[in-house]
Amino acid sequence: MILLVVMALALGAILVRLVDLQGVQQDHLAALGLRQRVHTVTLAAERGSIFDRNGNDLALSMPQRTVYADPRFVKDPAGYAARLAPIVGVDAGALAARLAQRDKEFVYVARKVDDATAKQVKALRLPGVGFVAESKRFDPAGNLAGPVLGFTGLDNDGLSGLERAYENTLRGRPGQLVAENDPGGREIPATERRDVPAQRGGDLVLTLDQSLQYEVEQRLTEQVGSTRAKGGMAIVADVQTGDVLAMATVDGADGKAPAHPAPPTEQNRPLATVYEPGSTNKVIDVASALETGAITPSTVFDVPWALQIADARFEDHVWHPPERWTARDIMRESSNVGAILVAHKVGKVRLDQYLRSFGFGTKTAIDFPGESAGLLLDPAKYSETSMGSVPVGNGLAVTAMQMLDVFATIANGGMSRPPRIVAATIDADGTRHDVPPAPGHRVVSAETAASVNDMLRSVVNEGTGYLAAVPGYTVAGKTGTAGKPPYRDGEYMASFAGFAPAESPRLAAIVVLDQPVTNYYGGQVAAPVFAKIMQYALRLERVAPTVAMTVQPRRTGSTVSNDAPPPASTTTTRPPARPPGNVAGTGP
Amino acid sequence: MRGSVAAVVVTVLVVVGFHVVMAEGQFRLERLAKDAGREQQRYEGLRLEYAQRAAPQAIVERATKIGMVPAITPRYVSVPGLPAEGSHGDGPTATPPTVGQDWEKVKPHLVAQP
Repeated sequence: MILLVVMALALGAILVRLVDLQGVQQDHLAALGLRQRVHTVTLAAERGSIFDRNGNDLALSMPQRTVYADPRFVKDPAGYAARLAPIVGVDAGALAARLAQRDKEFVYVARKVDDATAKQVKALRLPGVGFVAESKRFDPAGNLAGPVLGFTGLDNDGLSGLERAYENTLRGRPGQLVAENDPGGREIPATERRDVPAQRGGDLVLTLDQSLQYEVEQRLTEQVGSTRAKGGMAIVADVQTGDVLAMATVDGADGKAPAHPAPPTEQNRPLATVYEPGSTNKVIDVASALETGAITPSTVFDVPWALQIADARFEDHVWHPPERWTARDIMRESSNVGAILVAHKVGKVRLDQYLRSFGFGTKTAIDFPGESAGLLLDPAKYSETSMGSVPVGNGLAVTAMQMLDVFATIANGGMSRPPRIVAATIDADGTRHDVPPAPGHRVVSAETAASVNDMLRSVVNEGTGYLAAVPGYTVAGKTGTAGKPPYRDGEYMASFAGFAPAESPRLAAIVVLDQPVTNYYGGQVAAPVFAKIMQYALRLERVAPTVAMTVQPRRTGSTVSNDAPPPASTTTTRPPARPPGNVAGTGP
Repeated sequence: MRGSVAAVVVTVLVVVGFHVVMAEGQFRLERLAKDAGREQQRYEGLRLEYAQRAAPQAIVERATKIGMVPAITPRYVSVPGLPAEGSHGDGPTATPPTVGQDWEKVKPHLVAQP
């Protein structure tokens, strides 16, 4: 009897508990169970790739494995941390603290580990520890075009360069995965529910040529190293399309490392850094004077060696007696005094208009992150000496890209051709969308451009730019040597900008060396780099030579020789120039 | 009565069988998805390896290792009877095909997340 009562009470208690669990607390317990089982994971979208113009990968993302843990299933955080930390290379104490956060469902153990590390972690078979795929960004060509491409952060967000400028295109759209786990932390098969699929990021197709980019970086690095410059910049562009084929930034040696191409963490200096252009600016003086009719190609100037303007004295870099020079002579000799006289014919207002029409004072069509518009003074605020300094390329500051645009405009018959770096995008379903070139505008007439073209040829054939000559081609260009504020001795920006073939221009290039030590004249240190990169670029673009080369028979009797002497212009020696003596220290 | 019981048993068996087939299909689908993911990972790994080997620096290093040297300054010769005018680079490009050139065809078939 007593046994019956005890059994009845026990069964009654079980029944009550059953009703309580299955009835009263049903919803609460079901929700609790669901919360314990259901695991929501954000599916990161694969970031888009960046290609060069030939389809070579410059930046791409690869899935790597990220190790995570669900602290709700980690019974021994310290023990887990002790086993995991040495494998994944994280601090055991910090990892243990993360694993002890029982209110969290997801904590990182280590992000984007390689396959070997993931295999070791998997071999531990720790409940609650799992893997999720994450993308890692790779630059297969190393630092090639690093400042142009930029870099991404740990969460694959673009932080600089094109990675940042085109973040919306490249990042894609993340998805979401909802899965149910068992008490051991393992996914229960056939219960996965993908709510939102991820959308792959769009890709960029650049105008850069990987091979040319490498060549430009190497040649520039060699010269920066040998002249012990602080750094250098170089750009090569197609004058007909505005496509930038190469854009290089090089750091000088700093005691810890030799000269080297700049890494992605650095500024893209051809677009972001401004400098006083010096004598390369004389192109605008002459072009504006011809265009406005202030001078003709045959106008003769009486050019003394020095000119006093207010309290400043401007001098030519080489002493000479008073000369009767045309604009062509002034350009060939890179005469500061001559350029000032030409600019005075134009006047400050019109000169300023042409400076702006050529692109100074405005960002280029590239619109790169951190790009500078340059510095251009309002002519109403000119000082008494401004019309001495501006014509010779001081008192204003430009980017290397802006200066190259000037020469590309002349090369293109007076029509500006806005530069571009991105040629196309490829969207998530593989459809290519070409980016149309931005429309240009007429800056000077074709006739003016042809006259200036001819003058620039004389700079290379007979003047200060003879080291820019490329065998087999006619080159047009201008040297520049400008003092760096505050104009201390020996601190100059040495540059050369030009285009080839001059008869039918295809490519333009600029080389700028920042404070070379061994020799600071643009014609001596920048022009030779220009020659090398232009030669490579012309060959790459399969542009046929425009100058017939003389073929000398070999002494052994064969009719064709590879030992033909270079054109005479490359072997002409120039007398050493006097150090610049004008106020701003502008040389040829 | 016996007929009703048999009908119920048959129905239950059919339903169970249907669920078994569904579950088997689901497992097979997951296996195929894993296989596809593995192959995609392999493709992407090969693509990265190709890009690294095709990088100019890598090519220069390998060329230097086998004793190659940079070419001397090229000379151009004029062929009698042909003009030495520029051709504006209209010749066929010498650049070999790259992985990226097939990318537009491949991309739509790849899973969008890593």
